[in-house]
Amino acid sequence: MTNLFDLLLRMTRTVFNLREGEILGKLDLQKTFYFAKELGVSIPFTFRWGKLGPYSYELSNVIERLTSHQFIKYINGRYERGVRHEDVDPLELPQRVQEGARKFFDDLNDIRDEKPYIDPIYFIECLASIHFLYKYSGLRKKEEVFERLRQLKKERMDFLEPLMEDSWKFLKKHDLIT
Amino acid sequence: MWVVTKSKLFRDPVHGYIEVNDCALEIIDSPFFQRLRRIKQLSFTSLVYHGAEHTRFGHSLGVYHLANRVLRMLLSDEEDKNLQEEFCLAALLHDIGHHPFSHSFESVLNMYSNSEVKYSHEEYTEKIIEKTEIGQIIEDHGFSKSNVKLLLKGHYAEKYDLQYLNTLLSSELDIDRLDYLLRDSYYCGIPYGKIDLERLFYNIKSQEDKIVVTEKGLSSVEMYVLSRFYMYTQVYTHKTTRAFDLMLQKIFTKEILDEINYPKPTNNEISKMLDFDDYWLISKLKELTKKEDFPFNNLASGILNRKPIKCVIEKITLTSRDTQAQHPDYTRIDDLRAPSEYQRLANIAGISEDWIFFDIPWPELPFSYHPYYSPGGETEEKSEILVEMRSGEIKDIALLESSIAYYISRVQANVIRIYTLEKYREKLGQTLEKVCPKIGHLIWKDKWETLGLI
Repeated sequence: MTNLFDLLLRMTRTVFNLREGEILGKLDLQKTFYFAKELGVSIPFTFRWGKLGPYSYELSNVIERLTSHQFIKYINGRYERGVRHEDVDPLELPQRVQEGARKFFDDLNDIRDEKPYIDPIYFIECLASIHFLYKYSGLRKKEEVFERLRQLKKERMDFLEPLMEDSWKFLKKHDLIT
Repeated sequence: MWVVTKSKLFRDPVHGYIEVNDCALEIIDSPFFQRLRRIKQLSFTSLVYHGAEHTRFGHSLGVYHLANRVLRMLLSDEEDKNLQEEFCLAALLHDIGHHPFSHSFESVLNMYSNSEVKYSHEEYTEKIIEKTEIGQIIEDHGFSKSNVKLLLKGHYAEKYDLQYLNTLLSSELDIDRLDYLLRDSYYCGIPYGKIDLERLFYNIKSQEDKIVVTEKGLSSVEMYVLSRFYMYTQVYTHKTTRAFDLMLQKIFTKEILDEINYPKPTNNEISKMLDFDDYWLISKLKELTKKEDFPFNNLASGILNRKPIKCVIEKITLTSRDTQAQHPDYTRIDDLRAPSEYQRLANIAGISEDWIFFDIPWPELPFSYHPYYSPGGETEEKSEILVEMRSGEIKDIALLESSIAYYISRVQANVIRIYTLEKYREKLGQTLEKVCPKIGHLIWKDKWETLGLI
């Protein structure tokens, strides 16, 4: 019998597949699920604006539960597939969603090779924060979004400022901003 | 001084008098808000704790009241006045999109959510504010419905100092939870949910973009953490309430849902939600009991007449979050959920797979602790309950070794159960004992007829 818990397992497996099975910690996990949702994967969590950008505490709770369920494992600050990961099938995504999400996360992986100065964790934090402000705060111009980000994340600017231009281009390339 | 201006008083059993202003009153008097009188806060819980007949209406008023109170502690009257009003309206409206029988029916609908249609009550709430008279009332009073929606969704990102508004409505310590813990424990007649709200509110303050509780208020936060823990184990995951939830999930198959033509959260369909409340669901169940070719009419009648499916085995564990090791008995029961095992169990017991129900309640945790990982060895703690110590230092309550919250945050409550129809309880219990002797000690045998106990 399928129940809601199984659906959560399937959803998690789907997202892990998009990241090829490895997520670089809790921040990366939050932002990965955020983008998966934005790209059309059916994810039932609400992402609210937090200190490090979009954040869902429901997702944190679910992931912790799935970790103790051995569906995923959290080792040395990384999430990987757990021994029970194969117990369920991933969700069947519409082709458009599958392709869009696949391309987005593949490019995210590749950017580490293309631009070695980019730290992948800070980059996804920057991407998610810019996207969130663009989509939900009604700001449309790049400079306005950047300025708001500087105001809201004063303490993070040392890491994020050098990544903002690359982030904007990346989001544009994937039609997440127009 | 209150945020409200022209006002009316409601007498509330939990908070005493609740004062509402003219905009809120107009919303309260609208059909969409009145619909909340017809949606029980705790759905099937009243079949266990008979006092739990309270509705989303009272809860919404309660959250509105707490929004007013907490803003009084954090901001002056004149500061961002419109935003304050909009935040209170967001609090009032936070559950306006709830489905009949609240989370019980939402769980059913969530099974059929996909990329195109999302059935979460938040989607409905947003659409109701956007497309019904509620939005118009907000605008007519000079407030912005977009701001109300932003605050409701935790998407407020304008002023650095006010970012905490996003966590006030939904986080580890939020006004939604504060109200429902107090209200649910009051109506269930369970004393564990009590919280020293006065002390908590007098010791809450904003610190740049965060909310902190001063050390003097520490005991009241601990009380809140404990209250969450007990209400989770005693009420929200009660075995009989969960039994009715599972029955509802079984009844509402895709075919039945298609037949109902349940409204989707779209511009065209949202107004139809007015017809969908607890009374509608009860009538639907009555209808289904009379449908002879419907395979689950016994379950529909079971809900109406309080004849739940019965728990055959249960394991409740408190596991350490540090080791992430699950209790072996929990894992043994969980292994039986694999389709092949499930089928085997049904075959040996000689009962249909339809009558074996596994339950793992929605993983809402009593209290969470989430250390963030960041590159370069930096570890940043993400917690939404911060305490300002007398020294001025701000500490995460989950890292405060002198607090009981430190210990509670390190364990996780897990529940797994198997249910069946009453008539198969013994048969399934015996089968489980045969198939997996190691969990034999967990099987509920006290009602088995062969033991001569009934």
